[in-house]
Amino acid sequence: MDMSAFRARSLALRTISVAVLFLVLSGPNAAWARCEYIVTRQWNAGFTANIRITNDGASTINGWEVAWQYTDGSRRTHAWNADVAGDNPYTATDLDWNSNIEPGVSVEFGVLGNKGTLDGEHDVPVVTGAACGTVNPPPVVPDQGGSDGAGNPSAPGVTCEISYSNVWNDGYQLNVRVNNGGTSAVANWGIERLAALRAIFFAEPDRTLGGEQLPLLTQAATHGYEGLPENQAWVQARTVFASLHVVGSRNGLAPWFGDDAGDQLFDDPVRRLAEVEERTRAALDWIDQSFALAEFPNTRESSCSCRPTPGPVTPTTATPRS
Amino acid sequence: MQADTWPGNANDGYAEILTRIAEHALAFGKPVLVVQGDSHVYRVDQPLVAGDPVHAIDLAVPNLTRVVVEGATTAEWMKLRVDPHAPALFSWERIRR
Repeated sequence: MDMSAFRARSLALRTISVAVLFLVLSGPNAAWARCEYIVTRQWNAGFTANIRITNDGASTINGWEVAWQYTDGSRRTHAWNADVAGDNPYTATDLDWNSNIEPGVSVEFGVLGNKGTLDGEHDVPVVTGAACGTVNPPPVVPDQGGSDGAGNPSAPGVTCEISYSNVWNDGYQLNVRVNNGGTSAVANWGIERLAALRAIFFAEPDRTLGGEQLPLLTQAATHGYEGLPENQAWVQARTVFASLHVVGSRNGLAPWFGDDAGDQLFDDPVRRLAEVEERTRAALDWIDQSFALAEFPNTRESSCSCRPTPGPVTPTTATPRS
Repeated sequence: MQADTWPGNANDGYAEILTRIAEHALAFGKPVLVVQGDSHVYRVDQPLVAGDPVHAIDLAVPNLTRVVVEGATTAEWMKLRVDPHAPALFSWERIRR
């Protein structure tokens, strides 16, 4: 949001915004490609390399352009299987015959060039491009219940295999297979990703991320909600901003799934419904508190005629169904 | 919130939360903006302007506006402005790279 705009405005009119949580791990499939620079040969004065674009997404890439830049003085002299232009940085665009990349398919083009330093090692540049996506490949599951900090299952003989069945720009679907190769049954195994997300984005739930951190109100400071850092609020430009931890997939009611439709391998209705119940209760409380904050007069506003007056509360006959 | 709750369906698990928002927003009487994600396609509406039968909400809340932000698949973000002098308190701009 535009903080300068907020600072420029001041009038005692209070409003509330129930703001957004940008933790989207699901969505429509878009192109997502792996772009690699592979040195195929090098000698004292020169090199050849292939740039490979692999479509790891679920939809066809129709046309592509990638770019790269050498930082070791290397310069390309020839290229094939792409239309290469520029003079460090270079751009390469598709040719008619290799413009479409089906899911799971790679295209490659080659470059030949001179090294910046005789007998030097040819540095591998980073290949960028719209098709390459702006996000990193999905992370390896960073933590697993019943495992040590390095992700190694602590139970003897238990191993976890992770594979990605679908990857797109801002999301992915992964399969985790827990194999018990040991001699005794394993109880209470779990796969924990939410804890990793919270450790990254909510390590300090009472302040924002970013270089200039703003203080926040956090529900995690409330007894009973210590483990729920997502519900936050702050007041700026006489506006209450609040984040609400309300998730898709039917508010978390949808069964947890494995790699196939209808695969209930990973579902755990007791844990699932307990999570929904706790999070929903927390969200309802946070809605109450956020609106209470918006209604709460402060010193500047209390002297202002434009202090809002709450309207009548209309009784509702709505029946919660969740 | 991450969830896209409207139009939704009777069993989507959002009725209680939306009812609570509707009650407060109506009582508050000032503009309320709900920003959502999940479905990844930009959308603006007033989902409670005539109530929300799908979620069994019979309150008409004309001061609540909902924006669904475009998904990150298009590398777009939304710049929100709050201008108490403007007839429309909230305004926003879709920023694309």
